Amino acid sequence: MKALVEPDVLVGAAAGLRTVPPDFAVYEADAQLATRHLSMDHAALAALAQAGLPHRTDPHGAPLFDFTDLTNVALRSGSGTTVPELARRFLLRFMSGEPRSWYEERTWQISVWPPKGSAADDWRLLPLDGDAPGITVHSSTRTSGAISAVVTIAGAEDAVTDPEVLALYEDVYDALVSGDVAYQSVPEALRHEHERAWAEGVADCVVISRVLAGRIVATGRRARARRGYLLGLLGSDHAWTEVHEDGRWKCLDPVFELLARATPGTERFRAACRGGRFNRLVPCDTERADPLITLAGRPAPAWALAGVSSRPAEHPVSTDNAVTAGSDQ
Amino acid sequence: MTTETARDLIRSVMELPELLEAIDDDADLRMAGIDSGELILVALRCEQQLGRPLDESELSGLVSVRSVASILTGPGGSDGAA
Repeated sequence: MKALVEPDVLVGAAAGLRTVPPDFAVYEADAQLATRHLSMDHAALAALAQAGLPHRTDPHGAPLFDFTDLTNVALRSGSGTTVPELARRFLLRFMSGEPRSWYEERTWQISVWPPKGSAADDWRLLPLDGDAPGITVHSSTRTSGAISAVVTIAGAEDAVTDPEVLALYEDVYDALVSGDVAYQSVPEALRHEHERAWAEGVADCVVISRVLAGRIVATGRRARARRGYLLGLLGSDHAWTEVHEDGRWKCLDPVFELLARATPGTERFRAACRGGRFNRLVPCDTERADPLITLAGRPAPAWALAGVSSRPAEHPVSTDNAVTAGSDQ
Repeated sequence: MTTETARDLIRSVMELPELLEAIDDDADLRMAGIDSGELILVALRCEQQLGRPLDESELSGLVSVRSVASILTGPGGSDGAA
């Protein structure tokens, strides 16, 4: 059985939470979903409803919440046992490693498949970007809506040096550090209105990647918002910004820097977020941080995450059928 | 640490533990229907059992029943499943 978080801990976390604006909220998350994904149960949900977390009521009188709000409550709980908190904790192991471990060439066996419970044909997964810098796709197949690929990722230490770009990065980063903009989960529909999300004081990696890319583009420079998979145990969705400098794309990742901020010994990693390309991020084919998964042409519901399995793999001996990216896209 | 003991640990965090019965020791846990949240809890249980944090390579390698057993056995240990 999963350990459940105490209701009073969650109620404390809900206090002061910037909830999803009503015109973007989807009040469909019940106890079954909350237990499965967020270590909450009926008692916790009842307590959150009583504490005033926005919700609707189902025909049996049970509260229904917005899934994103519940995720943010879990992240703020400080319990250390909710899945979102554990995911962050494990991500920090990567950030605390030696620089070599961020950049060295790594080959991965990756499988991505649509959420279960619906016809595979209804879902569409964004394809991996085999043309991205440092990415070599040795093989890739798509069957029944799923992607299976063997990919080598070569990271690179490649600091951004343009002072104006770095100043724009600092502006975004400082807003997150100060709390003027809260880093928290944001529903996909609001991500698409990233300037509104930022103005409302909430942002996740997708919103941040778009805001920063937009600000850089506004100065006449080339920039793009990227989105793909963070490989390893987490197998999660992640977005970052890329700026074109010195004839090549360089990565900017204020979210990774923010997450590493409170952990001693991550100073070099935090510096690497301003240009470095990490060996476990595989981008998909988008320059606007589009959703990685859609359902019947629309962004998938917040709970409907693509399944991602990735494991270190042997580098294939033959690369005859490999697609290798150039350095200048 | 045997793979059967590893299976017990994995079952303990699964919403649908019966899914585990359908796969062999080397099968990909995620492909078998174990979701990312459950896999994270498997990592947590491993750390609790070992009394130390898993390192980054151990976390990345946590993909099958056999790999869970191997991590719990540790270097130089006796893995009854091998």
